[in-house]
Amino acid sequence: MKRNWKKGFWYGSVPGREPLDKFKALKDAGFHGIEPPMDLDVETLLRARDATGVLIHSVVCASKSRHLASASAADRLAAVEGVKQALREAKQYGAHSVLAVAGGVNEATTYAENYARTQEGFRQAVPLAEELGVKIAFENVWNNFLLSPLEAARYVDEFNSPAVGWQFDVGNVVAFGWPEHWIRILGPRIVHVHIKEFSRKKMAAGGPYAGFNVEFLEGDNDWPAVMKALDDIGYSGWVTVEPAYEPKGVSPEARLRVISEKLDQILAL
Amino acid sequence: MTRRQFLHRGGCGLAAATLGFASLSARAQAATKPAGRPLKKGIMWATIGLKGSVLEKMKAVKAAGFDGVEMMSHMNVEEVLRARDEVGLEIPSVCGAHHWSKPLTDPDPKVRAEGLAALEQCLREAKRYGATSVLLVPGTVKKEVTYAEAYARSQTEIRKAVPLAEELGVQIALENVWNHFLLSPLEAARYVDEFQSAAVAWHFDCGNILNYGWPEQWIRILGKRIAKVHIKEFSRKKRDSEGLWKGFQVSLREGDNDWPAIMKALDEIGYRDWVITEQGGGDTPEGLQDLAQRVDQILAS
Repeated sequence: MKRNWKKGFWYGSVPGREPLDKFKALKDAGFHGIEPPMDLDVETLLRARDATGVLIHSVVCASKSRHLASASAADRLAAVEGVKQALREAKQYGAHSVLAVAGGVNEATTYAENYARTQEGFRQAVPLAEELGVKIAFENVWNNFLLSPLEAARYVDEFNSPAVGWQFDVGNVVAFGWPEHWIRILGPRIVHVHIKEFSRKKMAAGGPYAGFNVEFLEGDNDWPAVMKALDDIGYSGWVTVEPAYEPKGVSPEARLRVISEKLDQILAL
Repeated sequence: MTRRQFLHRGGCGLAAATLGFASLSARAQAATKPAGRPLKKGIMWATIGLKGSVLEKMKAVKAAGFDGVEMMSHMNVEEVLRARDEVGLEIPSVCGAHHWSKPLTDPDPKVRAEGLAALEQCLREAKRYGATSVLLVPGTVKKEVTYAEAYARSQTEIRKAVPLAEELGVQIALENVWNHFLLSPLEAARYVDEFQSAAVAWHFDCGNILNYGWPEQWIRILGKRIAKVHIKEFSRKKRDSEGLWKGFQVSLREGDNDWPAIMKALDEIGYRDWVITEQGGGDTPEGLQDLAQRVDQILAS
């Protein structure tokens, strides 16, 4: 079964000096969209978009939203303003969502503090998200937070807003869970999917981060099960690649084409 | 079996070990219990690597300076009781012998029923030993068992054992282990609270948390729900450089646990129960004594 879903790519990993070069490279490799970080020059990106037809479907505000859990009230306020700014940029780009990271649990910030502070911060941005029609999508990353899919679903639901959803990263879950479980539990909360591979074997042999050092379709993701779960929840939106594995001796342009082909294979499973 | 045979079986050089045994005992007694924290010191039965009978193992544990042993369930209860009384150890906790092989989250209801029966037997044995809690792994999330299924099934089965636990006055203490389940301390607290019974509690393992969290945070969040504490070390550095499971291959106080912070958190929640080691190294009398001394140092930190 071939799914005609849109293929996206993380801006930071696209070869090319100028934004236009990056958009062209993606176009040439068969991608439909690019996911930039916030705070780039919006006019320049819009020109590149219009010149190439490569869409800007999502904007990343993780650099700001991570600070929503700061112990400093001033930092938290700045983080809220950052999320709002990302929402405005997303609206200008015509993006459907912003990728947000809900703080991070660490030695200084407890799980309970992170939960309360990030919810309080995001709540302040929700009215703007609703007004603009751009979703705030929390990504599961390695920030030691929302490690349970049941809790992740609850965290989203507690906002009581259709403008809040989930950005599901397939590879980030494999170290401690099963993507197909998460997809079914999060269900319609998922507004965007990141495609990433992970090897439990490499994690066991070389530590957690070594798990990412593996080619698509050669790790421990059960891609047919992942795709079936996405079908079952009715997902048919964007799949965006955030490359973690960078084989040596392959040009960035060639790698882009290989990833595009791998993505086609995954979408056909 | 004589002590001579025990020492031989333990694989020690006989003369050295015979000498070591006596002096060990004296030193261990001198080093017990730092002032200030009335926490008793135990060791998990399965981590006692010494060969020998139940009695022989208990003698070695006593000699090393421990106050008690966390037994495994489904042992010969009479033999354990006799050894306990002869040696003078306490049994504060009993660890389920079948919760990994017959998980309460298994897709097969027959296996779940067997797991429940094992838990109930564990509770009854705990009562006979005078233990105040049993260690239960509530199940496991795996490819065939989703997080949501694990949550629902384990709660359903544990609920069936709660009346017995209440009747016996023995707590069912759930341990955080690497079972891909209850990974959030907020969720863990909620999971316990949903039973609405004082007979359901937590068995907190320090070392199992470090891969994705901070023990002192878990301790403050779980608070009074903590019935027992496992003392185990973990090294994030070893995990990152040598592989995930290698993180456990580090001695107590040489890994990434911030023991002063952990002890401070235990003080703050008013923890007054046992600290039990689940740590490698207890396969010789000297190894056991080293473990006991390291626990003493942790308790004094």
